[in-house]
Amino acid sequence: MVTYMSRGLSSIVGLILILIALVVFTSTTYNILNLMNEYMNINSMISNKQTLRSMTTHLTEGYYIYYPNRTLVINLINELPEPLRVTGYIILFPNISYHIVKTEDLCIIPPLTTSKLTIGVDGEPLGVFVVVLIRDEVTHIVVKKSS
Amino acid sequence: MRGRQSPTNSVGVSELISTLLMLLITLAIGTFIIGYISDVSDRLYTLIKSDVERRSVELIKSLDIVFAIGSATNNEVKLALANGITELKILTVYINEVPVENSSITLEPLEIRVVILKAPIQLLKNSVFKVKVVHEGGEGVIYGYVYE
Repeated sequence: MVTYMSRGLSSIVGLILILIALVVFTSTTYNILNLMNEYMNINSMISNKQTLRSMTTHLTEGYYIYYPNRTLVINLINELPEPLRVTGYIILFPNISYHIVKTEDLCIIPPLTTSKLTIGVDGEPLGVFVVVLIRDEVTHIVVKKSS
Repeated sequence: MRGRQSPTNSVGVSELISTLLMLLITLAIGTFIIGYISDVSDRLYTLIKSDVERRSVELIKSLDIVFAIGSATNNEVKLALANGITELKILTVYINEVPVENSSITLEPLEIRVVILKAPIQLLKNSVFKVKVVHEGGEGVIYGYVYE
């Protein structure tokens, strides 16, 4: 009688322990899977950021014309299906001095359009760089001298 | 025949003690297994969570290195940086894998800044150097040219 009782008690305790183990295991597995899902989403978003930068390099172009009256006309071609927001320019001069122009209200270049921007400079530049935001990602366009 | 015991009546612990022993053993093994599973999964969870947090910061922060120009006469590097929409802290700048002293900078949202750094190596005219910027959101690399 006691032997049967002992076996029964052990089985019940064992069963309860297995159930607890199952609950612990299931909840942690759920948490880990949830976290893995978040991880995958973030990875995909980071990969999108890199794609955006790469797309901006390949699908945008910039040309500048320098006029002797110290005016610089920049033509920006946006072939991206997304708008670009210009945050500023960096103009590099032959004596390696530079000039930073910040655009107060972010100038928006709509998708598949060309924008013309005119700025006053101190002399003929060596290089012109336009800093742009695509979504929330910052990148730049190297503006070439128009031939 | 007196004094002769049947094989089932051999000397041992009582059935009550054996029940208690069995219960204790079951409890001990069960607790160990639950503890082990919980510990392993907790460690895995913490590991993934810290990586997710690091990646989330990487996702928000954005830095663009526009150009890097070196000067052989002053042994200086001009580094043009453009920041994204959130404040960003630059932790260290490396020139040809050598860290630049006091290169920790904080950039305001949408700030464009040209930073002048003292090169930790001797820059040679018409040579190319590598600049690595380590910031809160990861790192960026650009190659610069020594002009003068």
